[in-house]
Amino acid sequence: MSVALIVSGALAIGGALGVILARAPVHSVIALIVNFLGLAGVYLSLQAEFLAVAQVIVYAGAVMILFLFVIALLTVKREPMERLTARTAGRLPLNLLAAFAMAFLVVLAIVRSDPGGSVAVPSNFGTVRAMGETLLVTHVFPFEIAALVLLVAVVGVVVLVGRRPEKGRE
Amino acid sequence: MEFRLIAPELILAGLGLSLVTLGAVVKKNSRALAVVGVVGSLAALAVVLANFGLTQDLFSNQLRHDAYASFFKVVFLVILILLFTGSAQYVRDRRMPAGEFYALTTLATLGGFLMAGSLDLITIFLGLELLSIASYALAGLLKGDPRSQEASIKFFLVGALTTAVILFGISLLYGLAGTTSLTGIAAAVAGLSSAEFPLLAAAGLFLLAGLGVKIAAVPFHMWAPDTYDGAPTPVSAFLITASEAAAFAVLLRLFAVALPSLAERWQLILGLMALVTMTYGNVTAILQTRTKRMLAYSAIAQAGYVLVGLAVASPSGVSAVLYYVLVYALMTVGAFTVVLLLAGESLGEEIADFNGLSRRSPLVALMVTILMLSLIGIPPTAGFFGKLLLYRAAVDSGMVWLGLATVLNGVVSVPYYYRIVRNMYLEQGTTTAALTPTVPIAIVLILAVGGTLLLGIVPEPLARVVAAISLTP
Repeated sequence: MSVALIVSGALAIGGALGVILARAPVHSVIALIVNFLGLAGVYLSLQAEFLAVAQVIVYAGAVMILFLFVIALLTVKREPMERLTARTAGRLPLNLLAAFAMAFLVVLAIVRSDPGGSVAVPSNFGTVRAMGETLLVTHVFPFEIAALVLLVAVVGVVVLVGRRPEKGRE
Repeated sequence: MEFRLIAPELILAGLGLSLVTLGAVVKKNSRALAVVGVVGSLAALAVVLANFGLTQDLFSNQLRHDAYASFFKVVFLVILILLFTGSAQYVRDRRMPAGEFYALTTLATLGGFLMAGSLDLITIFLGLELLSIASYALAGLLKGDPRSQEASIKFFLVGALTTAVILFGISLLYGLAGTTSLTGIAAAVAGLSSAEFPLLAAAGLFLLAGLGVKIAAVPFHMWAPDTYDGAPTPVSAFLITASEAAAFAVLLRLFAVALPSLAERWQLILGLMALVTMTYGNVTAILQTRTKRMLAYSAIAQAGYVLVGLAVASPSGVSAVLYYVLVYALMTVGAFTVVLLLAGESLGEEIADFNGLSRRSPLVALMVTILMLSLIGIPPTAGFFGKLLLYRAAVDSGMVWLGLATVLNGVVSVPYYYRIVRNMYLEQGTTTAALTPTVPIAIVLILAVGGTLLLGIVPEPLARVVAAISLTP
């Protein structure tokens, strides 16, 4: 386990904590950028260059700009988010129990698993060529379905948010 | 690869795309869109039936065309055709955006197709997302109705979290097996040491929880009553039947093909989940006064019955699930069509709206009675035979307690189903004007009720079909 992996992993976890703990939405978004950069570091240290670059360009770049726009448009006044403690307080013990049970399983699995069982990485792993072949040859069918998923999302957003002349047209 | 094997998927995709386009052009005439939708779905149904017996893996083994997938596709298309036929008037009356309604329902059905036919976690996930994202939008299509908006938002928020949970489960499974192919996972899991079992269990739990949300099994059901109650009536019927059936198709395939060892170890967990789900749904349904809310809790209970077939982890359990899914689709679409019929007169929201229905239309009252008897599971209806298969599957695999729980729950469900029948025959309604269904609604009711009766009186042919369907070739 390299130092780079540990550092970027810590960065990612810290960012994730920041996202859920920050009270102002803008701070959450900034923490999310830290998280994304940390993840990109993790990918880099695992020799997945393409994934790391895509992570930075697509997520830390494009997606975060969108998030910032949404927040800028929605929260002109800087109001802290409401806290829904009253409704969820009664369920807290059960929620914690479920969360700890899952965390216990995962930690147990990591502790008990065999660290020597890693597989050699193929020489072209993570390169743009390998990525393209996987995406457009092996997985061409899911790739096309993804297009339909995006279409459905766009139609859904337009129909839910878009305004249409509903009254007074009869 | 033969293109005729994915022709139904191509037809549905084309139908969905043309409905979006047509919807933008033909704004006023929602009936024309419904006709296009019904014709397209009938064409897809014809191809599915023609290909029924063929088994072949497609697209680098990411899809499998087999009788199991074909059976679910038939169920989805039957639901789609009945809903398209029965909902034209409702869509017009409520000023729903017609093109989007028909297109999103079609594409959601395509998502169900992929879920039923997938042999790979990636295609399963994409099918699930196609179905879910379309459903979030569909639930909010009554734009002037705050309850429809609430239904959509709740469904979306829970669904987004569910997506994360399912993806986490998938990534754990991928990490363990090094492949997303279900058969590849089965091979890898068979060679795992006991040290890695906790990770496998965690992956399975995440997937079970995520798909449990989609079938509205207790304790993952919180979103369901509000969404099923607030969504437009045809959409509620679609979510309760097609969407839940698709999630069951994935659960069965996942546990039978990829994780058979987990399915055997988890009989108790799944059995308890079934028991809690059916009991909770039935007991809570008794307290409801709104029709769709009652049907929503009844849907939770019915999902519990289907879970019995999953818990027994045997071929007879799979057959019982298939039989029950088809029968339940017919009963539910029938019941919701009656709600659609009453909605034409701004009635049907409350259970009290069924008061005196027998004097307004004896025939409709008789049909509702048959549907309710079938939902309870009383012979000679299909619901009885479906429950019998589930009961037998449970007893045969040594889970007698689960079989008994199913029977007892049938008894618990009597009060709320019977209340509708009693209201129709014994109570005085606010009006005695004759109730005449429109032709499309009459056709849907005759098909749904006729199917329910037919499959109850002559269950053997379908029982033979489902008994021959197996998940492991």
